Amino acid sequence: MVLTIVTIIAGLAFLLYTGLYIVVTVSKPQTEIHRTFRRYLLAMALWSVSAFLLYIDQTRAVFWFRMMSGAGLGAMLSIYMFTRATTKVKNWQGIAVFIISLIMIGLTVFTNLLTESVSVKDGYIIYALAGTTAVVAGPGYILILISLITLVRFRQKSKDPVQRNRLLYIILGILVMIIGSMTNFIPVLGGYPFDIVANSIGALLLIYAILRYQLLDIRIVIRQGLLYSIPTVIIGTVYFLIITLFINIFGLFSKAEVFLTSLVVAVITALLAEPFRVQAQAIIDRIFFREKYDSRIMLQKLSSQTTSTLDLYKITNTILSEVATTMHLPSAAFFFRDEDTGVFELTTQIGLDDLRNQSFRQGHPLVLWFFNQNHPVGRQDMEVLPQFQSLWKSERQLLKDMKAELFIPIKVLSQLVGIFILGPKRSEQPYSSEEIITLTTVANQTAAAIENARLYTAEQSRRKEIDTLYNLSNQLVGTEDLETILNTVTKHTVDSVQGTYARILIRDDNGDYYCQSIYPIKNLIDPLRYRNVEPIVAQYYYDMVLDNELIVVIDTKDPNWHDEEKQAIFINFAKTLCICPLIGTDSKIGLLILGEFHSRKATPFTPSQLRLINAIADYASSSIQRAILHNKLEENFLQTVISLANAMDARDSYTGDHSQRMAAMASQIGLEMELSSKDIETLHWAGILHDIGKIGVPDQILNKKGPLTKKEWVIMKEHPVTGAQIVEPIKYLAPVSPIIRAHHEKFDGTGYPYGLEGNDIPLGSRILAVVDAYVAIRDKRVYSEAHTHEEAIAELRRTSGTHFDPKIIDVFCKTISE
Amino acid sequence: MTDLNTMIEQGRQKEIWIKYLGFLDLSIDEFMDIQERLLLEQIELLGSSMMGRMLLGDKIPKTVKEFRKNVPLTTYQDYHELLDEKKADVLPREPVAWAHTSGRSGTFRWKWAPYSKEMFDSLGESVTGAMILASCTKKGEVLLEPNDTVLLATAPSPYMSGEISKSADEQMKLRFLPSLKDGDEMGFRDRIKSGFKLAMVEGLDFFYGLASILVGIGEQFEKGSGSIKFTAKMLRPDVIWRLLKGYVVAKIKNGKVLPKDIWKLKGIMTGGVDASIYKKQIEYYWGKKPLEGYACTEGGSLCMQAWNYEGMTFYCENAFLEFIPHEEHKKNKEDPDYQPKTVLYNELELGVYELVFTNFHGGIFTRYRIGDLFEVISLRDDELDIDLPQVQFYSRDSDIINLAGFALITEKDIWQALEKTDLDYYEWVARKEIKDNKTYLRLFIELKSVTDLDTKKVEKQISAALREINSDYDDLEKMLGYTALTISMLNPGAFGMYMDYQQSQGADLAHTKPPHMKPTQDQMKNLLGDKKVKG
Repeated sequence: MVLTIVTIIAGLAFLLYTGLYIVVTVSKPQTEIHRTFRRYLLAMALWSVSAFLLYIDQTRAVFWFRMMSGAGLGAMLSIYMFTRATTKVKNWQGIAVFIISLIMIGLTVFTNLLTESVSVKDGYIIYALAGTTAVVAGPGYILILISLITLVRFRQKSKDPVQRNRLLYIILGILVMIIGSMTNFIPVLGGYPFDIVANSIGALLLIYAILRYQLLDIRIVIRQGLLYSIPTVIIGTVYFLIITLFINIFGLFSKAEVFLTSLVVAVITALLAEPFRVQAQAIIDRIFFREKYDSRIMLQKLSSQTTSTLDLYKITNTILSEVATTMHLPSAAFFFRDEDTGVFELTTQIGLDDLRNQSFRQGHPLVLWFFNQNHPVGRQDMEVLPQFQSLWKSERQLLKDMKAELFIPIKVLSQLVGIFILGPKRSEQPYSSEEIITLTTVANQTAAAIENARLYTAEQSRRKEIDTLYNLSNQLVGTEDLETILNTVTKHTVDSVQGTYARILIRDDNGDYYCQSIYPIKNLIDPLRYRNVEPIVAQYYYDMVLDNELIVVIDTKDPNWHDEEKQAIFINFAKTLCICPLIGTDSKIGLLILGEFHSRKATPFTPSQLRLINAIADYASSSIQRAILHNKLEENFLQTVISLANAMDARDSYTGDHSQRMAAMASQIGLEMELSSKDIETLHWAGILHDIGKIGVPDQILNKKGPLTKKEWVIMKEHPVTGAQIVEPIKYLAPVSPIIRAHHEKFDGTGYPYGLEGNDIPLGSRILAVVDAYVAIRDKRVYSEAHTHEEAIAELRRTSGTHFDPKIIDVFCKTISE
Repeated sequence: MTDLNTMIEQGRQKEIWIKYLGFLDLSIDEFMDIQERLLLEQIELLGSSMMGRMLLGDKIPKTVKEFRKNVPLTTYQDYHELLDEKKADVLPREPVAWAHTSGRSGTFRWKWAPYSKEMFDSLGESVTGAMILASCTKKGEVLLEPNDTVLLATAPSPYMSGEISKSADEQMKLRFLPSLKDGDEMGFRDRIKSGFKLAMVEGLDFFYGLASILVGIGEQFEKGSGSIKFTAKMLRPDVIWRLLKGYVVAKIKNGKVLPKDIWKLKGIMTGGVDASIYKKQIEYYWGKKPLEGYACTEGGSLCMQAWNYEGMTFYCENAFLEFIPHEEHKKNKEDPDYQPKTVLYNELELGVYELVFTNFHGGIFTRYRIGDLFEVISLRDDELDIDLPQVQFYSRDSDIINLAGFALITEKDIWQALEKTDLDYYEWVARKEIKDNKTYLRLFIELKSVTDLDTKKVEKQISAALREINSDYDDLEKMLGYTALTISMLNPGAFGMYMDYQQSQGADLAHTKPPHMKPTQDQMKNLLGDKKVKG
């Protein structure tokens, strides 16, 4: 027996094909594809053994060569039948091809129509092909080419990544086989065993495909153990070689020498081999179980990283990042249950930026499934299981948009708290069972940490909500000023929800919306149309929201919104808008709008945030309503007071426009003295209302022609206090009250009602006193005739410093001309 | 998603079974969960369409309870104006196909039904499930293969059966005999003829159509009139082998070559009343029992038998199912203004119910009364461990003959009674007649061959059989004290002439034959022709 490298390769190929044949035969299920593939393996085993025997049994070289050729044709036929089974072609041609091929195989093996002579010399095969070779062998090559083309096309058409991948290895195997066998027709190459090598490579390819990708659904349970034993075998061999080497080199013969040497070598080998074994197993892991190798490291990392923080986003982002890197995933996400609503919200994601505001409702089939099941579910399972028939079209679309391949429940104490979603692997390979186990382990290992962080975050969020509402209510209770209320609300909303801006629109009696408050975190006041009426396009939508009392979230990418509409609702200044109605007890006030631009989370407005916005809106509504009511009351009161003042004018002996003239002159003085616009306005109102207190003075005193009695003076002197008391409750007129109260005080302290002196008398009162005196001198009164401007000025100058403030007299004289 | 062909190629039988027939393993609660969820989606879809809003009323229901309480039951009358004009823009989803009924029910020439893409797909999925069931012998067995041949003995598009074929063709690569395209251009008879001719060459894996056709073909084979005509196309080794094998098998049995000798059918799918009548004959001729299903144009495929060929199970994902108990149904018959109450699938008890359904997936028929009655025969199938109510088709509401107010005679009752006798009948029709103030069930029968029969004897035989089948009828005869059945023998060829006449008048497919039950005066006039009636 001549053992050469060629015979070893041929023998190895035989063993490989025989092994594969056994594996395919015992594997289940057995389909037509398995049966035809088995025939191919049988033919190749026969071919290999013939090749082996060709070199061993050279006396019968012709027979073994013909057996090789026949087996080769058989393999080609089997490949053809395998292709038909794979592509499910059913027609009569198959039977015809089968019969013809059998005839050709018979002719090849039992006649000299293919091979005339064969001999082996020095490991080199010398053969002569017959002239009819093309006729006998040609059909086989045609078949194999047809098969190859068919399989390539079939693979191209197939959308199933598993099938595509498996077919690739079969195609490669066939290709190698064709190339190898073609060398037989090239005289220079034909003598060398290229075909034997090629067929052995083909066998190795198939073995790899079975081990790595479960070709033909064959799963070998022991493969991992076998592969792991390779380093041990190598170490054992090395140990054996070293011992042998020592014995031969140093001529060790005694038992003690051999024993000692063996012991030393064993210790050294053991010491050196351990790192080698670990390294070798790592290499095997990388080649055959790459994901498993990386997953182990990932699990270790996650285990340490997730237990050291309570930040939900940090934990989930770490997990997503590690998993995506290790498993080569473009996308993954976490959905967590909102405690209040029971809805599973998209909390963290990678590679799914386009998906925002997504959630699984309580009755979602996936949620229902995980309530009862602890195992992951794949996209394909969802397409198959009847429980998922109840998915809505929109839900199917969402799952499609997510490109989710695998869904893993996150459970804590048997309660479903979240769903871990994984996208497809970049390799387009399906998740192996080992990977699914790893990911489930990730979910289980990190579930407690996630739940703790989730509860902590929820607790924090609730506390923040309570704090926000508490602060807000404190601030709102302390004021009835509408503007203050509106500004407080917008600021609080932006601060608490971390929005980009907040606006409050108030709907007026005509149904138009006016932006009454804005709190932007950047310069957006002008673009957001402060105090302007909202565009008509937007108003329709606002009406719908307000009248239906809806809280809505609009995404800038929502295709239902046209550009014009987006501009109208200012969504272009944010990524997402939340519009919340402001509903009073008996009226619909307006809208609180929150724009969000920067979000690190997948969901810009989480249910808890929406709940908070809603609560703020409720607080705001009651405060706004209270303020509006208050304003209305004040306005009514003001109107009443103005009416009273007018009535007073009519009652008094002054000319009808006395108060108006006083107001105009006082304002003029204020302007000249460069008072603030607010003070000037106060002066104006003081001018109008200064004598309103005379409402309490009887007509006979008010219009008495002669001098007043002492008693009458007492009554008359009460009018500044009475006037001040009338206007005091009107918030808007509150600053006017002290002016009215002191407008009869004199600069030297001899005035009434309190005898104030100098600068103790409010400036407005001092101005008003001058103006009142001037008007009184100029007007015809029941007790005196009207005087000229000059006379009046002269009188004022005369009493300047005693009766009046000299500075004001100066300004007055300079300002007021006839 | 991975298509069915690939799944078959990859040997994923378990997944295929679960995908198409997994509903048989659902618990009733799971079944109802699916029903409820899909109804809520449908309500949302209806609410977004003009016609849907019209059906739902002022307030769009938010729950199943509200839906059943507030949305009225409907008939085609509520739809015809918009559907007859095929107004797509008023529908919940854009239809990809429009199918119409055979128009047998009378009031409307045709009833049109729009199919959304999802509904269209579900037609094919249901028929794929039916093919698996018709061909399997045990749970999980999937014998379907791409390129299986299917002989279609149904009407083409735009009939619903035509749409089913198209949809099934999209589900998996099937070879229809003849092809769908060729079949559409042929008349009904030609299509069947051409189908069987092609089946001689191509083989036959599945038959889908009327049971009576299979029986007819079987009878022809048995009589030898269906002998095989050789053509050049049959000169193929596989065909010759198949025919030779069939011939040898028949010779060994010492009988005529029957269809089952030359075709090994994987499955037969039928529908209609005759399916259960001809079950045994079909098995005898074709070697397979027919699998019975129920489908309608407005609702698509709704229920199907399992592999024990007993009761039918409703699909959970094709329509929301409600049932009017028979008592409620009768109350409504007496007083059309009375709104009958419905029960849900999980509330069924043994008895007869009228089916009410609401399309899913953007269909338009809402709480629709199709007019068909079902009998709940058991609340679960113990044999196959199907934990869902089992039903069988009872009758079309309009086909029931009501004798003396309490004996309800269905088409199936009469057919079964005829089968129990030795009568070699060709066709029949039944009517209710009143003579001398007495109510009678009158049967008009055409025999296959001219025979001198004692009609009184036959009458007694049929009456006895009917009493055995229908206890109410038995009570009726006992109470009235006379045989409430009269038979009249029609002249030979009466049905043939009727069909020829109808075809010459351009009648639609469904109108070529008179209905078995309650034919109209005009139909009877055409059938009786010169009024030569025996009996």
